[in-house]
Amino acid sequence: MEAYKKTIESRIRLLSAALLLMVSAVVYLRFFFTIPDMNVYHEILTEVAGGLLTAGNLIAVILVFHYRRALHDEYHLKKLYYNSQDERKKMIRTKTGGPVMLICAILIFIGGLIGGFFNIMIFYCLLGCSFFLITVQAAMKLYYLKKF
Amino acid sequence: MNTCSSIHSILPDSYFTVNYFISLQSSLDIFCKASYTKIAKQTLQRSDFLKTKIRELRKQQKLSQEELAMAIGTTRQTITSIECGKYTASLVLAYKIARYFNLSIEEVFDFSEVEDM
Repeated sequence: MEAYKKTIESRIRLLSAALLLMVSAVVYLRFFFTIPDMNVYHEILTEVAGGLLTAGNLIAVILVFHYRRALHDEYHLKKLYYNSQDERKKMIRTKTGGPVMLICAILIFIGGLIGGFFNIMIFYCLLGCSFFLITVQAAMKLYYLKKF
Repeated sequence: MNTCSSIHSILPDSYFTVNYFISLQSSLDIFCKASYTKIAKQTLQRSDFLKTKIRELRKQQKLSQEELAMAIGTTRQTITSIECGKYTASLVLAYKIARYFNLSIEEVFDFSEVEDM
């Protein structure tokens, strides 16, 4: 369990760094970001990016609290460890594409945000793609959770 | 009042609409009933999953699923799935469960259907 404790500590460090980065990105987007001939679509994209980063911040804060609680409570640490090592959950994760699908969806969405500054249609297309990926994964996860 | 009148102008004849929703509901009912029967039959006929005595053993020792899960290093949901016969435990997990109850794997899991195959 000591090795897992170290993993959790490194996760907290990583999350804190990500949190700091995201907060600075939100501040930059909100107060300093500007491009020449900025139109309404660019403003929408900037707001969407800001909103997503804020949501990311919120998730990171919740996870940091969750991990900190586990570090101070042996029962919660054990539960977290068993959850991550559970063979049924591992199997379902493998069958649904694991975190790879989610990472792909996020990367596609970020690509869409960047591409949206050149043509708004790129943003709409890639937004649809990433939502489709997430929906398929969620549906598969629900199916396998019900099956096993 | 304005909204109501606008809805009535959009919707076709109210008698037709009510009939349409009744028929839609009854066809949905039939569909749900058929799906449920199919799933129930499949569950009854399913023989590729092991039957276990975990529930009985747990009740004898007055253990909750959560307590058993924490004792053998798994989650409550996995114990539920194994008990219901939805999920077949791996050899390691089966060994852990059997060892926890001081029994052999054969005494906890029913292999009679596997032997018949």
